[in-house]
Amino acid sequence: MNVERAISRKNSRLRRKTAYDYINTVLLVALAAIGISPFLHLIAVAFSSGNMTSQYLVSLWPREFSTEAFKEVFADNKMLVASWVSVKRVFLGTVITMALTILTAYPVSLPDREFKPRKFYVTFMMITMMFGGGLIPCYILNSRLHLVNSIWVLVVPGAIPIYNVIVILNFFRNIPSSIREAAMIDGANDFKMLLRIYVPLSVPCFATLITFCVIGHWNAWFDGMLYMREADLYPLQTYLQAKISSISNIKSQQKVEQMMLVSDRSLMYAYIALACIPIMLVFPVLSKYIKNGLILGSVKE
Amino acid sequence: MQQSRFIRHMSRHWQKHVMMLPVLGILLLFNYVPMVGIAVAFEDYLPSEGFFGSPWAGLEWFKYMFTMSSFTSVIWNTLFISLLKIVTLETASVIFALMLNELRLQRTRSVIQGAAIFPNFLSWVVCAGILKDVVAQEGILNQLIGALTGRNISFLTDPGWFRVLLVASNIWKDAGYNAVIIIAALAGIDPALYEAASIDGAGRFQKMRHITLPGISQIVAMLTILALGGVMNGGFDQIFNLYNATVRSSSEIIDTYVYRKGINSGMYSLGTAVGLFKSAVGTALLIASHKAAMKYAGYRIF
Repeated sequence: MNVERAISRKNSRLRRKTAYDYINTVLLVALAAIGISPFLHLIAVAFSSGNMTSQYLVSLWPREFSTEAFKEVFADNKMLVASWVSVKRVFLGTVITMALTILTAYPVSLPDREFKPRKFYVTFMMITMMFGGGLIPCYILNSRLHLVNSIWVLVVPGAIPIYNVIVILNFFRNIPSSIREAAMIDGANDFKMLLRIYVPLSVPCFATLITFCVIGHWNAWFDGMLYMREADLYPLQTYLQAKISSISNIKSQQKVEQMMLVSDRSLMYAYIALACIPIMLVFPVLSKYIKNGLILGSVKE
Repeated sequence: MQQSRFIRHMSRHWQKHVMMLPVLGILLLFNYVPMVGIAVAFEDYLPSEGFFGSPWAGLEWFKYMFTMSSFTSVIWNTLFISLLKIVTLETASVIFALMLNELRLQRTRSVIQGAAIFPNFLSWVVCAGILKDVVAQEGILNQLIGALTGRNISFLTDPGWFRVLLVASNIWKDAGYNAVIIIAALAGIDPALYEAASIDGAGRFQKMRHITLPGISQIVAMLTILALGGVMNGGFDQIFNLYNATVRSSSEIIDTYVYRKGINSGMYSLGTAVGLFKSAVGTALLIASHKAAMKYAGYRIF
C-alpha cells in the first residue's frame, strides 16, 4: 500500500518534471540562440555582397554570397603585419609569463616554517594587487624607459600576474609533502625539485593558464594603443580598434557609392571575423577545461 | 652571530631567493616606481622638464578636480554603472546557473554552456564592433524592434538607453562564464542531500530553494563582494569601445576620463590626481571587500 503510494507519487513527480524540463530547455535554447545570434549576423554580413549589406538587408544568413570583403582584408598588408605582431606578442608573453610565474609560485607555496622570508615576498606581491600608481605614472615611466614602440612594453610590465601566481601556488600546495620529502632525501635542490617534481605534476593546471594567457595577450589592445606610435607596430586588436573607429567615421561618405562590391559593414565584419579565428581554435580546449570544473583560484578547499 | 645566521640561511635557501628575483625586479620597477610617480599629481608636470624638474603645485590639482562639475558626474556615473552592472550580472548568472543545472540533457547542456561562455573570451574591441552595428539605428536589432513596436531605439545616442546597452552587453558577455563558476560550486553539494529531500517528498523547486540556493550562496556572496571591491572601475574596455561624444554625459567613468584628460589632452598632473583619488578609494574598498569575503564567505588569498 505504502509502496504503491510512493510509486504513484514518484510518477506524478516525473510527469511534473517533464513539463518543467520542457519549458526550461526551450528557454535555455532560446537564450543561447540570442547569445550567439550576433556572431551569426557577423558571419552572414561578412559573406554578403556590399549591395545587400549597405542596405541592411542581411540578417542571419548571407545574401548574394560574396567573399570580396575577405579578399580586401587579405590584401591589406597592415592587417598581416598587425597579426604577426600579435603572434609574436602572444608567444613572447606566454613563454615569459609562464616561466616567471612558475618560478615565483614555488618559493611562496612552501610552508612558513620551511621558508621564513615567504611572508615578506607575499606582502610585497599583495600590495601590488591592492594599490597601483594608476595609468599616467605608468605611462610616464614606460615612456622614460624608452619602451615606446618596443614590443617588450606589451609583455614585460605585466609579465607576472599575481593572480596566476596564486593559482599555481595553490596547485603546488596540493602536491603531497611526502613526495617532496623523498626528493629532498635523494638530494634534490630547489631548482631540481621545481623542474623534476612540481612542474610535471602540475601540467593540467599550466595548460589552463597557458590558454588564458594566450587569449589575454591576443585580446589586449589598450597597451598597444598607448605605446605604439606607428600603425605597423600595432598588435591586431589595436589595429582593429583603430580600423573600427575609422570605418564608423567615414560612414557618411560611403553612402554615395553604395553599389560597391564591398560595403564598409561587410569589410568591418570580415576584419572582426578574422580576429576571432584564434579564439575559436582554442575554444574547444578551453571549454573542456572549464567544464571539468577547473575554474582556477575561485574556489578553495 | 647575526652574520653567521644570515650565511646559514642563504646557504640553505639561496635558490629560493634567486627564484624570487624576477618578480622582485619587475614589481619594483613597474608597480612600485609608479607609486612614487604619483607625486606627479602634486606638481605641474611638464614632459620636457621631467619628473624631477617640474614645478611643485601642492594640492592645486585636487582643488581644481573637486570644483569641476564634470568630475562629480564622472564619479556618479562610475558608481552607478558599476553597481547596476554588478547587481544585474549576479542575478542573471544565478538564474542562468540554476536553469542550466536543472537541464538533464547532457549534450544540449554542453552546447548551451559553450555558447554562453564564448563571448567572454573575445575582446571588447571585437564585441563592441559587432554590437555597435547590431544596435545601430538601421541595425538588425532595431529592425526587429521596429517590426514589433513601430519605433526605433537609439541605443548609441540616447544617454539613458546607452546605459541599458552597457548593462545588457555586460550580461551577454560575462553571465555565461559566471554561471559556469557557480555551477562548479554546485558540484560540491552532497548528492545525499537531494536524495534525503526526495525521500522527504520535496519537489524540484523545494530542492532548489532549500539545497541548491544555500549551496551556492557562499560563492555568489564571494563573487559579489569581490566585484564590489572593483566598483571604482566600471569597465573601461567596454565603455571606451562603445561610447561616443553624445552619450558621454551618462557614461564617462573615471578611467575613460583619466585617459581622455591625461593622455589625449596631455594634462598629466590632472590625470594622475584623478587616478590617485580612484586608487585611494578603490584600495579602501578592495581591502574592505577582501576582509568581508574572508569573514562571510571563507575566502582566502595566498
